Amino acid sequence: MKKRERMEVIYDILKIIRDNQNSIKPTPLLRKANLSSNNFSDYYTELLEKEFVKEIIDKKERKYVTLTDKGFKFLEKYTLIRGLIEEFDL
Amino acid sequence: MRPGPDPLFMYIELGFALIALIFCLLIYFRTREAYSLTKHKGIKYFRDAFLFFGFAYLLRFLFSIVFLSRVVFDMNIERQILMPVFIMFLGYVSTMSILYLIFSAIWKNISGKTTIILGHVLAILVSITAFTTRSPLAVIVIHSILTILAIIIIFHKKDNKKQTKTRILYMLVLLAWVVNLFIAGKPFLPRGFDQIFQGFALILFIIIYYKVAKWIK
Repeated sequence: MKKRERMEVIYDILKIIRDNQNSIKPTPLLRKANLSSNNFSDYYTELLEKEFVKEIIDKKERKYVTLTDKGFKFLEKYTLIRGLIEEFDL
Repeated sequence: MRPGPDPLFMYIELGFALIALIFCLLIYFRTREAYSLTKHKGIKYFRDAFLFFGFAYLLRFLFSIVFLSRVVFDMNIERQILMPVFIMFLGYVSTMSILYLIFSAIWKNISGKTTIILGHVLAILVSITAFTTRSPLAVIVIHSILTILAIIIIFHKKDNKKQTKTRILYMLVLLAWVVNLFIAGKPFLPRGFDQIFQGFALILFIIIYYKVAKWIK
């Protein structure tokens, strides 16, 4: 199976969150992302740092992950950016 | 004796440099969002290549203005002082533009910062050599070597049909640049010969811009 590129993994994680009514707990997200926990932790930290996602704690102290505007923007632009990368072999 | 520079051809050169500058900057700024969203190194180097190409055309534009002022208004700007300074800066920015174009193709195989620093060192060496020898020869030689290197690297990669077209475009941009440098101001060439190649390079930049614009909405 072809190894996913970094950008592709980020897209997949964001898409999982969006397809889950933009709210998912970290553990099911890890499971659906199909990554090792170490890898997932790296990506998750990166997504938080880049402000693609944010964490929300509900009244029962449960942590949820949601997309930010920037995260939605990335999903919206992903196909086009992918096209640019492939066109110029970047 | 060689006739003096014809203002008409200098106006044409001025126009070409300005349009090339605009298209290089358009490529740079229109890919800003793609880079800021992804932080993709390939996109970064690609943008930087066109930023430096833009600087190179800005220098050519400024040089043409100064030279044209000298011809049209009979202003006394000493060519002996101006030319080496111009070649020095042009040597630096244009070497960086070619290097960034190469980096954009091979970024997965290079160690980012070290390679970039080495690239700057090479570009500075080229510009110092050009300044001290007061000749564009060092720039032409290094750029020819880099162009050959770039062509080998770019064509060595696995590709599909679309990418082959883009690589041919890259190759033509680099070749047009080197040929432009080589023939610039050569007295044995007929008038207008430089401008034909500059026009050719300009068309290539416009094609690249439209290829970028297709993906950047």
